[in-house]
Amino acid sequence: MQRHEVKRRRRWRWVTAASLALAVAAVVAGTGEEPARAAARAEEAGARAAFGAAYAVFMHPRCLNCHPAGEQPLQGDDSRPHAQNVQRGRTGNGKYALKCSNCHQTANVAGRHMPPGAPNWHLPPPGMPMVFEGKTAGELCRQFKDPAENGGKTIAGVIHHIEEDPLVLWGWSPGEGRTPPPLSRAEFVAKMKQWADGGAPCPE
Amino acid sequence: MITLQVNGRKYDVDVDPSTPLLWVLRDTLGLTGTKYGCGMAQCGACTVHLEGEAVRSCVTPVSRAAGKKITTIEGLSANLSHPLQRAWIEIDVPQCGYCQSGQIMAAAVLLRENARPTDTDIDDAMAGNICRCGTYPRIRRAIHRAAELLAERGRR
Amino acid sequence: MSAAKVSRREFLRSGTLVAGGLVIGLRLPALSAAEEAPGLGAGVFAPNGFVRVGTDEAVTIIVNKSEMGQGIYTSLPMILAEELEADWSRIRVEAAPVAPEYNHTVFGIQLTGGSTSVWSSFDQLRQAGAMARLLLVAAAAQAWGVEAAACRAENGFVLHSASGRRLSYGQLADRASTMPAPIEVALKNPKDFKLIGKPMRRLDTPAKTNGTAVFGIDVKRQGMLTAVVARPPVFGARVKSFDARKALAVPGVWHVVQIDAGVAVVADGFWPAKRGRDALEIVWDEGPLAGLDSQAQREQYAELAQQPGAVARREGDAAAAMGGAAKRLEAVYELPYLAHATMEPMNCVADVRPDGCEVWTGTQFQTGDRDAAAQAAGLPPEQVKLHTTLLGGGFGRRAVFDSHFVREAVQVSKTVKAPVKVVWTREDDIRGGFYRPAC
Repeated sequence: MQRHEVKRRRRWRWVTAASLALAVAAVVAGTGEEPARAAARAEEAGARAAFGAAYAVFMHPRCLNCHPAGEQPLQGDDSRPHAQNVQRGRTGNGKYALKCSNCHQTANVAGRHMPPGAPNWHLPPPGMPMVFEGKTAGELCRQFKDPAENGGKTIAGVIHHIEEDPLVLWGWSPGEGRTPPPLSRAEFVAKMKQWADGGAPCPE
Repeated sequence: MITLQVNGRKYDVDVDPSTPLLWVLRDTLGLTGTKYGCGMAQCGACTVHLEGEAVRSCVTPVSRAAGKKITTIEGLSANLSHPLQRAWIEIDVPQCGYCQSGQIMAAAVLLRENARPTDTDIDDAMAGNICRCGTYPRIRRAIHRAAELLAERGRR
Repeated sequence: MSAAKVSRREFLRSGTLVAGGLVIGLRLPALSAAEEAPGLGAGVFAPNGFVRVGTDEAVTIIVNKSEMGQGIYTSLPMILAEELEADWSRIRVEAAPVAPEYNHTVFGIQLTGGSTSVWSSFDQLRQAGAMARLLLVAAAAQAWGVEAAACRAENGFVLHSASGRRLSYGQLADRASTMPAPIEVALKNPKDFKLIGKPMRRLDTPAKTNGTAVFGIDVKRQGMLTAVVARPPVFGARVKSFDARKALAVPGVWHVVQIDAGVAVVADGFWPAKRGRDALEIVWDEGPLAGLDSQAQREQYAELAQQPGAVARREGDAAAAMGGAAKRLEAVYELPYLAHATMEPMNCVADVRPDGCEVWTGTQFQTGDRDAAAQAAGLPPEQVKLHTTLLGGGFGRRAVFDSHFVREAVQVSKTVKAPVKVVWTREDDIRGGFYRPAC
């Protein structure tokens, strides 16, 4: 319950930031600024807005559940703590007899309430937990850009990851009884590319 | 044909590759020590070792196990000599006994990775195995006891 | 020493005591070929239906209660072994077949439930053990040509203190079989108990730690098929029509048969049977209970709770006391329908042949299940052999008045003319099993 409220507040914050950026762009345009510079500003504003749209995907249970703030993955459309006290473990692959791939196969097991699956089902490792849960759009954006937090990736590397990683792609074929994220995969990738191409600007 | 290596023995089985490993073990190979409890990786009764990891055989397609090393409760030891089996008998853990194969196979991975587990470690390892009789307190004691037996064996 | 009188007739009824020969078969368990123990024939002392002593020193105790986790395969043998003065390390346990001598001493049918097993079997098993001991002592006395009173039994031996001689129960088994039945037996003084009241390790633990324990779901028979049943979506629903083509197209599926419980898909194993079951297309007549829902039921119960109920006991004037009470407390207690959720999903193996029927299952209710199997098979009850396996949990789920899980297996086996194991999926039992009563 609490988490949902937090999420709503953050979304609102982002909308405010985006509107501000657009307003600034409009004002700048009105001052008769150099067209190229104005275009660049508009592009940056568009990139920021694109990240904002993609943010809704990152905050969706299909993505957020395996990027938890704590040491336990979440599950289900209500992002409840994963059953069976499953833990991140030393490598992000679970712990002892409860390693991710003990139940999660490389593909979904057919049927409702059956374990979903994709190649290399895992959580981020504890040294680089890449938390989504509870992060604002700005916080998440800065986390993505920080090589110390993103596994030493460039922006291009980040884009490649979200475009190609089978575990990310799984979000759009989550199996029976699980909703997919609010944007289609193509829309999501396009938004993230727009964000990258526009200089990867972060919302406040 | 899929070749399986179960408890050190090779088997060629002619089954649909999507068949869960559980049913190949139980119905095709007759190794009924591994149990069916829920069929959806929720109860742990079907736990076996696949390359040393405590997989839920009820959701593991047999194709994943092809050519890999599988150990079931029948293969844990030849003569009840595994420290967990000795501890299970000493503490008299089972009641109806139906979940215990899975409990023991899960605990075996815990002990391999952590020879002196704390209560928290036991919770982290064993929370995926349900016991309808409620033998949990004795399972906990027996895992601690098995760790001692393991340490004694190490000293000898 | 306290002595309990046991009439000869009672012993004849419950035992194999016939003088002048080793009487195997009369009261010995009717075993299937697979279960026939080697050596059961010559050299077994079987004084009554509850114990056998072999020349190999094995002491087999026949337990007429079902082991479902409560430890009855240890506690009942303790009672008998106490009086028998048996060597506890030699004790083996065997499930009793269905026969009147194995009926519950209070309920009069063969059943395990209600936390009644130990107290209701206590005297019976003490007598059975004491009787066997008495005969072994008599056999030794005869062998040595001494008075029985000069001998005593201890830890699997009969000893003659005066001469220091001793003979093991195995060595005495043959001779003990020829001894005349006693009319009365002497029971031990409870202060001399060595097993009863002492913490003992369970006898079934080793088998439950290496995968060798056999539950109903583990039973294997030559040529056995496995069935999974499409069960009604609503209690009381009936099959209107079904299309089996997709089910029959699943490799490994052999038969699709309609039974009282629904439609059974019979296959080489559980997995093809379940796949076939899931591929069935069935039109159900959901019947009058289709509209039943928990909320409406709860409201109905609440309403009924306001009506005057049956009086279980009347003492004093409750209404007056309540009326005059300074403080009144009210509470509402509700109990929903709950699945028992036995860890071992429900199952039963049946093998119906023209001349007989065998059933293997983890059951708490042998008499009812045997009779139901006979009825479903169209055979007299004497032609049904029911083998009780270990139970992966009971909780009453395996003592059901209509024996539905046995009946359906018999129906399927009879139809397909092969041994069949019917296995319920977990969902089958949670959705439409036999629930705990609600209130």
